[in-house]
Amino acid sequence: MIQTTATRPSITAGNLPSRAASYLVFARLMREAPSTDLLKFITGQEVLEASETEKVAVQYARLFLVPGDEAVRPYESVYCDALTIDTSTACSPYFPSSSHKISLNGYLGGPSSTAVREVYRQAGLDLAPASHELPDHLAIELEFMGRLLERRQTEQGKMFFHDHLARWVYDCLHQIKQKTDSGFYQSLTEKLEQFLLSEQALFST
Amino acid sequence: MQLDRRQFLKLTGLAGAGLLGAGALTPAKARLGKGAGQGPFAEGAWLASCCNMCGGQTGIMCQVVDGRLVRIKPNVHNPNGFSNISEDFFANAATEGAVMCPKGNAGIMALYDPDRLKTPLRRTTPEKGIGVDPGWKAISWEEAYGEIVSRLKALRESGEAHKLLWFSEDHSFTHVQADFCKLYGTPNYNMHSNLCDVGRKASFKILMGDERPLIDAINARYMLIFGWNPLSATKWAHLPRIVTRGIEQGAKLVVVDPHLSYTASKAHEWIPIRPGTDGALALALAHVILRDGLYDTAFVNEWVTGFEPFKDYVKDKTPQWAGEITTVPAERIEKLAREFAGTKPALVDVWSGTHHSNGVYAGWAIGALAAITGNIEKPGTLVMPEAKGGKHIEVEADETAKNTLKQPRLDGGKDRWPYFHKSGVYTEIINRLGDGNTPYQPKMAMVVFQNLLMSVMGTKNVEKALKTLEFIVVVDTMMSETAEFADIVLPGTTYLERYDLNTHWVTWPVVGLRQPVVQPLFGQPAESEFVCELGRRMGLKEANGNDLFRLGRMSGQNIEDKSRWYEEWLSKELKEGEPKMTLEELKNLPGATWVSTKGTRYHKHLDVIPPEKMADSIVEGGLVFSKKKDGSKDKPLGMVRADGTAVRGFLTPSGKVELYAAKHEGKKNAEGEPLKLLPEYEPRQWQPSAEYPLYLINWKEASQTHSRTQNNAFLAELKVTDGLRINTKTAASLGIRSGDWIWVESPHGRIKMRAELTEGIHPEVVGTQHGWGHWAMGRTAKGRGAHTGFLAPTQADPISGQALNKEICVRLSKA
Ligand code: SF4
Repeated sequence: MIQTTATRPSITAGNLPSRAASYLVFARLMREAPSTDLLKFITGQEVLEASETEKVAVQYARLFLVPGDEAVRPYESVYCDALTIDTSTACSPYFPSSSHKISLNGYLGGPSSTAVREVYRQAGLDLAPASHELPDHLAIELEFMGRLLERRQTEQGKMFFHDHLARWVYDCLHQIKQKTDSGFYQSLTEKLEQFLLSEQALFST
Repeated sequence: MQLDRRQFLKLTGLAGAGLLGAGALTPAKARLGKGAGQGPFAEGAWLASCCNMCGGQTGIMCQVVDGRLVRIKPNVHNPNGFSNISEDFFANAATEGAVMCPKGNAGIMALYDPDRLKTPLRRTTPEKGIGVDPGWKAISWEEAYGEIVSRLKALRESGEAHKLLWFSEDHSFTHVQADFCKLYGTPNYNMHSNLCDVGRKASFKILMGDERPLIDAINARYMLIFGWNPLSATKWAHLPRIVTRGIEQGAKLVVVDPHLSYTASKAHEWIPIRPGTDGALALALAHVILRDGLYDTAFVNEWVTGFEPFKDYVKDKTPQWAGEITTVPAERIEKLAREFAGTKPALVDVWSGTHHSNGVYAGWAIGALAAITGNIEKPGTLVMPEAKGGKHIEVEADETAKNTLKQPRLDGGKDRWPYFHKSGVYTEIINRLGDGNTPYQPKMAMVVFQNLLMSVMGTKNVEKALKTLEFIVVVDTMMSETAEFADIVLPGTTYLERYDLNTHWVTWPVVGLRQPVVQPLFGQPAESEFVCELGRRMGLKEANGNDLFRLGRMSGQNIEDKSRWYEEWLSKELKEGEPKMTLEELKNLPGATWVSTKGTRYHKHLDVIPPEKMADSIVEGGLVFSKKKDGSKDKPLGMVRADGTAVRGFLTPSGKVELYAAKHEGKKNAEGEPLKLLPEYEPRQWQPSAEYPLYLINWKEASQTHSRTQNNAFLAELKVTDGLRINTKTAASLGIRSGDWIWVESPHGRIKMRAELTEGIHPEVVGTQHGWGHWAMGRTAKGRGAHTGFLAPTQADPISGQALNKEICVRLSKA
C-alpha cells in the first residue's frame, strides 16, 4: 500500500488509504508524545539525541497534560458542552437567589463524550481498556475517522466529521498554535489544520 | 524541531506502520444498539454515596446516565446531611428532605475538572522549588510502579523503612494506608487531623475523656459558640439546619469571634474578641457563675472533680480582668454569664478557635462552662457520639518491619506531645527536616491528597523541608503546589470514583457507603488499589505469613482483581464492625446507609456496666478496668457510684468531668514546661508589637474546602472574601481605602492583597478566608487572593501538636 508522494501531495488527495493513514498518524501524535523512532522518522533526522525526545515529551505534557499558561484541553466536551448544576438543594448563603441552575463551559466528560462513544459503538468499535482516555479526545476522534476511511465508510466519516470533529477542532488547533512555543507542535498543528481543511473541502462536495 | 514535510508524507503512506503503536479504539465486544451494554446506566441510575468535597461525608445521591454523572442531590436516608440527633432524623427526614452544601453541589465539577491529572508524570528538572518548572513528562503506570517500588524496596532492604514518611487525608482509605506503613515498617504515617482539630480533641479529652463531643443544637435553648462558623464553614451539611432549627425553636445564639462570620451575622449577638483570649473570657464567665452560685450543684457534686481548686483559680478572674484582656466589656461578660447559666439546656463549643498557643487550655476552660452548668450528655448540650462503624482489622508486622517500627517517630510522638494524636505533628516534621535536627534523615515521602505547601503554615519552611527528601511521590487529582515538588506524580481519583465507609458526625451509630458512581476517568487505580499494588509488588506479608494485599478477607482466597480484593476488605470491616453485614448488603440498603435503630442516647455516663463485664474486671480506687489476658489492668470501663452501682462515667482518670487534672502532675509539654493542672489562661506567645501591630487570622466558608477546591469554577463564582478584611477605623488610620492593594507583612514574609473594609472585624485584627493564593493547581485557582502561610512560622501547640494556623501578627502598608 506504499504510494509515492512525489507528484501529488496525498495529504489533500481523495485517496482513501492515504487519507485514513493521515488520520491515524495525526491521532498517534496527538495521543501522546512521539517515541524516538517515530520522531526520527517524521523529522527526517537519522540521529537524534535522547534529550530531543524528552524535550518533545515535556512540550507535549506542558500542552496537554498539566495545567498552566500553555495548557490546552483537546476534548470536544471542553469546547462544545456546558455543565449545569442544580443548586436548589444546597444550604448556602452564596447562591444568587433568582436562579437554581448554574451552567459553565469547559468541562470534561460532557454529553459529547457519551455521544461519540455511542457512534464508535455503532461502528463496532470501542475504547481499548488500556487507552485510559476519554472518548472525545482529539486523538480518538481522529483515530475513529481513520478507521472509518480504512473501511471505506466515507458516508459515516463525513457525518462524524461534521457532527463532531469540525464543531470544535479548529478552535482547539487555533488555541494550541497560540499557546505553545514548541516548534514541533506548532508545525504539527499547522499540518493537521491544513489536512482537516482539505478534508472539509472533500466532505463538502 | 520541525516536522519534515517529505518524511511526514511518506509516513502517511505507511498505513499501520509499527511506529504508530496500537490505537485507542478496538473492536467492540458486540455490536450495540443505542444505550445498550452499559448496564444500569443506560436509562440513568441513582446511586447512593457520600460526599468528600470536605471531610464531612454528607450523604448524596448521584444520577448517572450513560456512565456520565449528571446530577448530585442529597441522600435523605443518610442522617449526615439532615441531623446529628436520631429523634429528629427518624421523625422529619422523609418529609423535610436533606441538604448538601455548595461544595457538595459542585462535586461534579471536581470530577470533570479539565485540569485534572490524567497520567503518571515524572519531573525532568532535578531542581525543586517554588516557581521552578518541574518539566513534567508522561510515564506509564508500569514505569511509575517500577521506580517507586524499587526505591521502597531499597529502603526496606537496607533497614531504613522508617525513612519513609507518609502523609494522607484523614477520612479516606486510611486503614489500608496505615496497614501498608505498618507492614512496610515505618512508624511515620501521618494524616491531616493535626492541622484541624487535635487541639479541641485534647481540650475535651482532658475535660471529659471524649475527644469529640458534638452539639445537640436542635434541642438547645442557648448556644454560645467560640471561634467557629457552623452556618458556613460546614464540615457536614446538617450543621446549618440544626443550628437554625434550634433558633426557630427559641434558642438564643451568641457568637464570640474576632470576625463577623456568617454565623455571627445570623446570631442574636456577636461578641468581637481579641484573638487568642477566649480562655480568659471563659474563665471570667465561670467566675461569675460560681461567684453568684449559678452552677448546677447536683451535677457538680456527683460528676465533676476539681471543683474547689477551679473555683479558687477563677476567684480573681473577674469580668474586669477579662475585659482588659479580651476587649469584651465587663458588663457584657456579667450578662452573658447569667444568660448562659440561666437558660437550660445550653451548649457551648469551640472548634478551630483553638488554633493558638493557649488553645488547648482555652478549649478546656470553655468546656468547663458546660461542666459547671451541667450541660453535658443531656438533650440540647454537648453529647458524646457513639461513632461505631466498620472495624479496622488489626494486622501484625513481620520481624523486618518490627525492627524499623521501633525507631522513634520523626515528630517525637507520644514521648514529646502529652496529648499526641495518631495523625502526627506535621509542623514538627517540617521543622525537623528543615533544620536537620532529626534522629535520622528521612529519604522518601508519599503524599496522598495533602498539599503541605499550602496547608502547613510557614511556606518557606515547608519548601526547605521538602527539598531535603530524595524522592517524593504525590497522589492527587490536581497539580497541587506540593505535587510540583514531586519526583513522580500519580493521578488520583475523586470521591465519586472510589469506595469508603463513613461513620462520623452524628451521635448514634451510622455507616454511610461511599462507592464509585462512575469509573475513574482515566483508568487510574483508586488509591486503595494503588496501595494494594505497592504491597503486592513489595511482597509485604503479615507476621503470620498472610499475603494481606492479595488475600480476600471474606473468601480467604487470593484475589487478583484489586477492586474485588478491596470490596472484601470493606465487607470484613462491616461484618466485624457494628453493622454486621457485607458490602453488598450495605449497598442494597436505602441510600446505601446503615442506621442503627438504637438512636441517640443521652446520659451515657449513667450506663450500667453489665454484670458479665464486671465479673471479669478489676476495681481499683472506685474505678473499673477491663483485664488483660495475663490478669493485669487494661482499659478503663467506668466507675462505682456512691450507691455502689458500676457505671460508665466519663473516661478520665477520675471517672468524672475534670476541672483539675491530677494526671498532669509531673508531666511536661513538648517545650519542656510542666503541664498545667487547671485550664489556665496565658497570653498567646506571639503578641502584636509596635512593628507588627495587627493580629492576622483566617477562616473557612462553605464556598471552599481548605486549599483543595479553589480550582472548582463553580465555587469560584460564589461571593467570598479573597482580599484582606480590615476594620474601617483601622483602615482610615492607615489611609487605606476599600479596593486598595496593600502589603501585608510579618517578619516571615510579605504578600499583596486587596483591602476589603468592614465594620465586621475587630479593629486590632485583619483576616481572610484560607485557601487562596495558589501558584499552581489549575487555571481557576491560580493567582486569586494570597496565601497567608508565607507570613507565619511553622509551629504547633506544645500539648497536642495542633498546628497554630492563626497566630500571626502583621503590619499593613499601601502597595
Ligand atoms: S459539608 Fe458540603 S462538602 Fe462537606 S461533605 Fe457535606 S456536602 Fe460535602
